[in-house]
Formats: sequence, structure tokens, C-alpha cells
Amino acid sequence: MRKLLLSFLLICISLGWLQAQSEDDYYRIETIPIPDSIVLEVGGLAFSDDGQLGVSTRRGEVWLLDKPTSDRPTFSRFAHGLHEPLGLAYRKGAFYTTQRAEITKLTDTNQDGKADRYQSVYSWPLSGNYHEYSYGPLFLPNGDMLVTLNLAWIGYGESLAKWRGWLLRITEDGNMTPIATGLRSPAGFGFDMNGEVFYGENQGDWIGSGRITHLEKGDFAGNPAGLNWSQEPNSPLGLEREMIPDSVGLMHEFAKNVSSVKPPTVWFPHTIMGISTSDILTDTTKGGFGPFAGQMFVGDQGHSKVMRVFLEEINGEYQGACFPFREGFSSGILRMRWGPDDNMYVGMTSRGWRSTGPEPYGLQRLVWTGKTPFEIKAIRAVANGFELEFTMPVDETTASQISSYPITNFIYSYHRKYGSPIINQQACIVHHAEVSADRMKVRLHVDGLREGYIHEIKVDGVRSASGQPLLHDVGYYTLNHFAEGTEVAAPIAQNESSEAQDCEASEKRVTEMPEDWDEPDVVITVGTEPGLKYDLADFTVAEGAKVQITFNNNDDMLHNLVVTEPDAADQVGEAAMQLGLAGDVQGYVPVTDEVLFHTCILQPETSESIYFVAPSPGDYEFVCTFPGHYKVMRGKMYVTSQETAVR
Amino acid sequence: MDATLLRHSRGEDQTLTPLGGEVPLLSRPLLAQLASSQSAWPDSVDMESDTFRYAGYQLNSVGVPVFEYHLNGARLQDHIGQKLEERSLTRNITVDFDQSASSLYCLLAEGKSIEHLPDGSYGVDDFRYYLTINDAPASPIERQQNGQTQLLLPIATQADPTNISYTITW
Repeated sequence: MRKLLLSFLLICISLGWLQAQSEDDYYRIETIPIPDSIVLEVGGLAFSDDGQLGVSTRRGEVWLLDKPTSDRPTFSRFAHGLHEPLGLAYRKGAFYTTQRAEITKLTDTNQDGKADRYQSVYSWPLSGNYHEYSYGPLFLPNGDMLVTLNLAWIGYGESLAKWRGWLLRITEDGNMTPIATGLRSPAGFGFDMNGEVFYGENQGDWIGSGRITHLEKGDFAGNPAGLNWSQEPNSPLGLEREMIPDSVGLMHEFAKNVSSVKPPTVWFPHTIMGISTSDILTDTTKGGFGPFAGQMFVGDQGHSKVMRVFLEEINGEYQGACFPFREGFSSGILRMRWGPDDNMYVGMTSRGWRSTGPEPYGLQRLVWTGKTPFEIKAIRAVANGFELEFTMPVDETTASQISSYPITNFIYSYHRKYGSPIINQQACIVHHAEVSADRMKVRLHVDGLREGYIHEIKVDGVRSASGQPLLHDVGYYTLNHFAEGTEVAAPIAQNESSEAQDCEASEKRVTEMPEDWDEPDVVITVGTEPGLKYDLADFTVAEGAKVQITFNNNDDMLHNLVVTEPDAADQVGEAAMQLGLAGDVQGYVPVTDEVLFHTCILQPETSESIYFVAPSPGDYEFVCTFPGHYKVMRGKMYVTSQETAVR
Repeated sequence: MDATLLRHSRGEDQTLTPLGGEVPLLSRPLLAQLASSQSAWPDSVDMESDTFRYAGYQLNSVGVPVFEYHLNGARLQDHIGQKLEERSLTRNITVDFDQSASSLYCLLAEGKSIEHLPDGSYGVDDFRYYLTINDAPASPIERQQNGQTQLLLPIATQADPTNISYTITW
């Protein structure tokens, strides 16, 4: 009885931790109020030397916030009439911004608080395509600037104008040097502690999942469109577009044989660690922002969150792990900058690309509360395994159990298609877990490591010395190179990319018209509109009608269409979010009775028809269950008891 | 200009729409260096050439942008002046030459017809609009190119800044 009581007490304590602990205990989000008259769709953030915060907006304005670290900063307009300036920097008394077609230096020459000189530092051509976003500038220590140029979107990413898909280096007097290409949607880039340049990439054509990549002169980061300009006399690489086949296989294997190809430094598994990596900000606060000094933070626009990255160098190249860090921001995160108060200022917009945070735009600051969370601080590759470092001493009993560390590895295909399923997934075996003398580290001896693969390392049930559970229990380590001393097992399917099957037909997904139908009674065609919307809000069919729904994905991202029971779209959408690595295989359709009918996940510019007999009368829903979409991308299917005209 | 389409949703249609009526003027570069006064006027500016650079603009005391370009060693400033009457615009151009610069031409107007009127002004394309020269370093030259009449102003290299000003009225 006494023992039972004790267990009960322990359970209560554990539950207490579970309930009490949240990200908010350690990192608090504060909202900076924006006057109603200002549409602050943040494109860029930069603090001036005197502590004002400059904000460039997608509507072409630059606002100055006086006392930005206070509860209620005041706003004044510094500049306007710019073409979607998606970056802002400050240097020697002037702001620099990147418009779609140029770097512009903004100077207030008459000291009236408004820019009067709009100097074009360097300009580049545009085709006029909406997707030709330009980002930066990022100042190098010597005063040179870096910009990145987004590809156009014409049903696929394309470089229609010179240097689209490139990282460029530009001097103050307007001399340009192309540095690297293979970029698709390079909305965020920044330095690590050593001043090396990393950029964040979004899932898309040729890009299996979100990731960050270390860029050096002459690098090719994956999307071949920018190679249109690789034969220009000042190109730093000679790689030709024709040298990239439509289905390459595995990128890290390709990189061994083709020079210039640069595999990702850290992969961010799609939908699990965000859906659209944005800004990169290294923790230069020397502890002012908490226990992660020197690490990197990466924003996510679609999931309204900030993730964390630990990097190390193995064989002279960077690799490392990403971790969840803080979610729950109010809109889509595009920019993060350090304030003079060592807080992280976060600028947001969700116009055109909806985000989990429901606001159309916003400005927030993330404040360390002074409490240290129990987290996996770092994962390092060591001989035949990994070493996990924690933010506080671990409990020896739970930390030395090998069952505490489920490890799985997998990778994405490198191909022309939009995104990639998870492929070649395998479980690893941990056969020893060794806790360091100071109990800050655990060394795992692992069988089944694979070079070039993403290793999901879960930490299940490990407690801190004081009995606290982890705030986040997972990290994803991209093992581009084994640590020295790793004994390589016989390669297992190393160079095969077993493309996952398209999701299978089932009674909930009938893609051929049933043989006993002469023709459907009703054909409903649903397309998309930008900003995560179907182009049809609702439709009505009669009970028992033979229905064909043709879902035409004419958007530039992945979507499906799932018909659910009445009022079940939220539940189904949430269940799809919880699928984790399995979601990909299941087409993000959870196995539940609430799902009635569904299509597969569809590539951009593809369509699929499904056939079913309309169920009993009711107000059914249809929804995209691709993670992050369900809250906004949905409609209604009204089933009536009598024949009713449809659209 | 109505910039709504740039800012709606993703901004798929990257176009601006005029809020008022349209008066088509030149569809060619304003200034060019020609081998002779009969050489063809270029269709466009080569943004990548070493001889041309757009330098941005400065807002003047009334908030009007004064645009600046560099062409073959000449520095050009270009802005719309104060409005004298409704349905008219005055354009002011200043050219500063450095020592190595060569002479330029300024294209004032192009049309099927350009008629020189007794008051010294010009009627373009059956008087679709009128052009009056307020200030010029020389007399304009009329010439033909591909069936179009062009009105050119030669700008000789000189130490002092050259001012050009003309008003169009429609």
C-alpha cells in the first residue's frame, strides 16, 4: 500500500511537471502595439546605432520606432514608395534596403527624421513575375553587402532574369560579384559565430524539405534554375543545368561525384520542424538570451515559430542538429533581430502565405525569463554514435537507459518534383548510453548510422537531476560526415532512392469511376486561390447522388482535399498534424472514421478526381490536411434530401 | 497610380494602373549618345552596360523626386517641375559633363507628325499634345526614323551645367 501511494505520488509529480511546464515559462512573447493606421507587414528589421528600430514593410514603407524596447514605442514614417523591400540593414548613419530590383541606401540629409535621399547602390533586372522577391542586404565586416534573389514561379521555379536564384556580393560603390546559386526561395540568411554565411530554404521543386545550407563562393545548393547564368564570364562555377538529371537520387551521393554541389547543412523535416524556414539569427547575446549562446535560431513563416540549431564542423564542413524552440507567435515570421536589450525582435506577415498565427502582420519580442529550460542543448557526432549535451544535469537512472533514446534515420529525394516523401527510413539501435561524470552529457553508442542521413533522436523519459522532464524531447541531426573513428557498417541501400508509392486507392479514395456508374450525377471542380484557399466555398449535392470531385491543385505548394463528417475538419486537421514522420507516408490523412473521402497530396499543377456516393443529409466539411493548412483551407459540402441545383 | 495589384494577396499581377487618363509620350530613352544627328535612336537602355547607371533620387523641398542618371561621363538630373496649369507637366533636366564626356542628344518628342506652330510650340500627332520648350542649349532638330518624326535637342559638352526645360500640355 505504501509503495502504491508512493507511485501515485510520483505520478502526480510527473503530471504536475507536464501540466506546469510550457515554453512560456522560459521565453515570453510580448506584443508591440502597432497603431491602427499602419499596415506593418514586416519585410525587414534593423536597429540603428542610437537604438531606434527600423521596419521595412511589404507595402513599401520604412517606419522608425522610437524607444522600441518600451511597452509602447512611437512610430514615424521614414521612407515610402519602395517596391516590396524585404530586408533592412543599418550602417554608418544610413538604412539600406533591398527592393525587388535594387539595393537602396536611405539617408536623411536634412535631419528632419525622414529619408530624402534614395540612392540606388546596385540594381538588377526583373521579369515582372510576382515570385521575384529580393532579400537583404546583409553587411560583411568590410562594408560589402550580400543579397539573395528568389526564383520566379511559372508552375515551377525558374530564373527568368539574370542572377535569380543567386547569392550576390555587392560593394558600396556598386560592383557586383556572383557568389553561389541553386537557391529557390532564400528568404532568410545570416552569419554563424565565425562569420560564415548560411541561408534558409523552403520545400519546393528540387527541395525535398526545409533546410539551411552553408554557402561559400562557387557553391550550388540544389535548384538548377539559377544555373541558367553559370556560363556568364563572372560566374564562380561552371556547372551546367543539363548536368542535373530530373531524378538524381540522394543529394549527398551526387555531391561526391559532381563538384560545386553543396548538400544541406541541417535539414528541417517538413511539417515536423516547420514548413517554411525564414530568417537566421545567431545568438550573439553571450548569455543575455539564455543558455544557447553561439547557437542559431531559424524562423518559420507558416508555423509562426522559432527553431534552434547547433552546428559543428566535421571533416572541415558544417553539420548539426535542429530542435523545436518556441511556437505561438501571432503571424508568419519573416525577420528576427537582436535588440539592445538582448531580446529577440520578431517581424511578421502572412499575406499570400497564411500562417498558424492568425494575424495578418505583427511585431513581437521574445524575452528570456531568466529560467533555464531543461533541453537537449547540443547533439554532437562522435565515433560510432552521438553525444547529447543537456542544459542541466540529468538523472543518472533515466539517462543511462538505452530505451530512452529511440533513433531513426531517413532522407529526402533530390528530384525535380515539388517536395519529397521521407525515404529509406530505418531504425537505429542504441546499445550503450554513458552518462558523463558531471551528468551534463550522455554518450550514445549507436548501430545503423548512415552518412548523409537525417537522424531523428528522441529522448524519451529522461529526467533532469531534479526530476524535471525535457521541454522538447527531440532533435534532428544531419550526419553529412561520420565523426572520426566511426566504423562504417556495410552500406545499406545507400545510393537507392526508393521513391514512396503514391498513396494507395481505398474505399475512401476511389480514383476510377465505379463500373456500375454510367456517369456521375454531379461533377464538382475545386481549384485553389493564393493564400491557402479553395476557390469554392461550398457546394450542394443530393443524398445518394453519384459525385465526382476533381481537385485541381493550381497553387504553388502541396495540397489535398479531405471530406470529413460535419464539424470534424478541426479534429481531422489536428490529427494530421500529430502524425509526425508517418504523416508523409499516409498523405497526411489520419486513419479515423471522421474522414469520409479524400484525394492524395497533389503536386502543384496536378489534379485528381475522386468518386463517391453522397452520404445522408448534413453539413459536411472539406479541408486540406497538409500540416498547417487546415485552419484556413476548407469549405462545406451540403447534402440535401432532395435534388438541388449545384454550381 | 493605383498600386493595389502589387499588394493584393501575393501580388501576382505586378502592375500599376493610372488613376487618370493616359497620354502616351515617348517609349524610348530620353537621352542618348549618337554617332551623328542621323543615327538611329536606341529602343532601350542597356542596364548592364558600363556607360549607363541609375543612381536613385533625392526628394526636393516639396517632396518631388529628382532622378539621377550617369551616361558616358555625364550626370543627368531629371524632375517634374511645379504645375503651371491643369493638364500640363513641365520637365526639367540638368546635365553636368565631366572632362572626358562626349556630346549627347535629348529626345523631346516622337510621333507620326510634329507640327511647328507660330508661337514656337509643337503639336504632336494631330495635336494630341503640345510641347513648349522653356529652356534649351540649342535649337531642336527634326528628323525621320522608321516613318516617325522625332524632335531632338543636341547637348554639347561644356563646363557649365546645361539646363533643359519643356512643358507638355494636353
